[in-house]
Amino acid sequence: MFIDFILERFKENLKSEAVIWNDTQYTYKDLLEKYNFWIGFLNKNTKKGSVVGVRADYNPDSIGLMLALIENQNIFVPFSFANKDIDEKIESAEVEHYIKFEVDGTYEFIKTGIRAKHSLIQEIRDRQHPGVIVFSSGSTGKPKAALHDFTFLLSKFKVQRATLRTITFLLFDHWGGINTLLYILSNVGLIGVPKARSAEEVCEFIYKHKIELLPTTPTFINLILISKAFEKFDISSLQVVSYGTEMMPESTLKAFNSLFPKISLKQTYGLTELGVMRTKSESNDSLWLKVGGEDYQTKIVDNILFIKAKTSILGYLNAASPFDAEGWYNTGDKVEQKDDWIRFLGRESDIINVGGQKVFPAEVESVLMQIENINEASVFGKKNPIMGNVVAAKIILEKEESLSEVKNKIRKFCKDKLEAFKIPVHIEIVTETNVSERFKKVRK
Amino acid sequence: MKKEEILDLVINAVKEVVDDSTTIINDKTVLLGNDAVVDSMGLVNLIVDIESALADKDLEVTLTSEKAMSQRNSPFRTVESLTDYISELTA
Repeated sequence: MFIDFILERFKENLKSEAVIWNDTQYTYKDLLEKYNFWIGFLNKNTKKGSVVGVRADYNPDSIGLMLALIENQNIFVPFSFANKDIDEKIESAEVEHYIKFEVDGTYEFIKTGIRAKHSLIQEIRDRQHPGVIVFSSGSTGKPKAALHDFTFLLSKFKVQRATLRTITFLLFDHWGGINTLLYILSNVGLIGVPKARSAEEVCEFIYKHKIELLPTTPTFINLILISKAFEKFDISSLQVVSYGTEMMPESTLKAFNSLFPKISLKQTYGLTELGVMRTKSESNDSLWLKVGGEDYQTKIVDNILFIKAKTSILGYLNAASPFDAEGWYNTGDKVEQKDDWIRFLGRESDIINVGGQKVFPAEVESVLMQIENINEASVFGKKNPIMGNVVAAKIILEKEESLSEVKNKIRKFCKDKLEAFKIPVHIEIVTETNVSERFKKVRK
Repeated sequence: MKKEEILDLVINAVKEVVDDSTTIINDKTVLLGNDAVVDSMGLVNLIVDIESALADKDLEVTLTSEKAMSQRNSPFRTVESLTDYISELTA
């Protein structure tokens, strides 16, 4: 009953391409069969309202299973292969059944022996709604298990809209990824799953399968630029590249836009606690945007963005509610304002305090990456006995150069572009790109 | 390390940070106060640069120890005082 409208659309489009996985095409008929298999499986092995963890990447089975979990009124807990702490997360999300997929698509069904009885889980059971628990990474402390009512998310997709041929880039456990997936499914679009998330593989996949939408991270866009994989594989089928989850260096945005002026660049903004908001970028090469839409209110206090959403999580299973008495959520994102537009400056927790002056790593990185022969820069704070902290940078060079040459070049270049306290004091040349498995910059 | 070598190293480091060929850098060059050739961020850079230049010569030295910071006459006053201080630390 929860996804009747989605299943109806599947049935009207049985022959349409649904998923490309492992170089094989699956139609909506195939996906419906997978769904029916999993409905039978869940009926036999689980009860309504039970908490089911699934470790997978996107594949026809895991997609069919996700839909079956919604319909069967389960509480779905997605994990990805990048998760290193699944055992701990199984505990904090009170996962009762665990379906563990391997990369090749085979799976194992495990009873964890846990009985979920958290009051929030009870609340969603009382509502007789399906739920989903996603973990909010957070830069400090333990990941927080955030419980959503799935019906709120589904209601967004009742109106049918156009879709683009989309590559899944975000991982299975990512809230933005789940949003994208449900959007495509409810509009019977195509989901392409690349074998690996490397620049080369993704560009080849885009070329081979005429992908139109690439939802990704700024770091990955930069990796595509550095790898020059787009010279080997024509990616001009792309119409939209959307980016989010971390700060976009202006230099990367401008470089990509000048190489591919026909591709729209859209910044997205989503929070595990609130959902994915509607955004509008000022232009393809601009970081100014509007966030919100009818379901969200925003306010800015001390340059920090606060959001109040019509629908948000019920709460965390393992932490206090993140909302204040009036329902406002502190995003921890520092922004600047220009009329109705805002621009993200960085996470409050990433700010480097140099003798009382604030430095946003993204601003410095963006300048460094304009310097000839510097491919990638990651900026962080380093303790200093005089200033408290100073700016430090790890640099990846295109071709070899001595540290002292690089240092001089950086100082000269930055001199009239950055205030003195923002110019990196410590510089280290590294060869490995410092990115996480989620293609976000790691700053340390 | 000989004192003359240390002096050379310090002078070179100051030259790099100042990056202005018209400024004369020698042992009398002032590093702190109104007549200093570097501002506070410049001094921070200078110290880090000298520390890493010494580290390249296998000398692990921390110039900004509590001792240095609490001395009545700061070792960072001039190129000369800084050179003396380093040779004391590396002796």
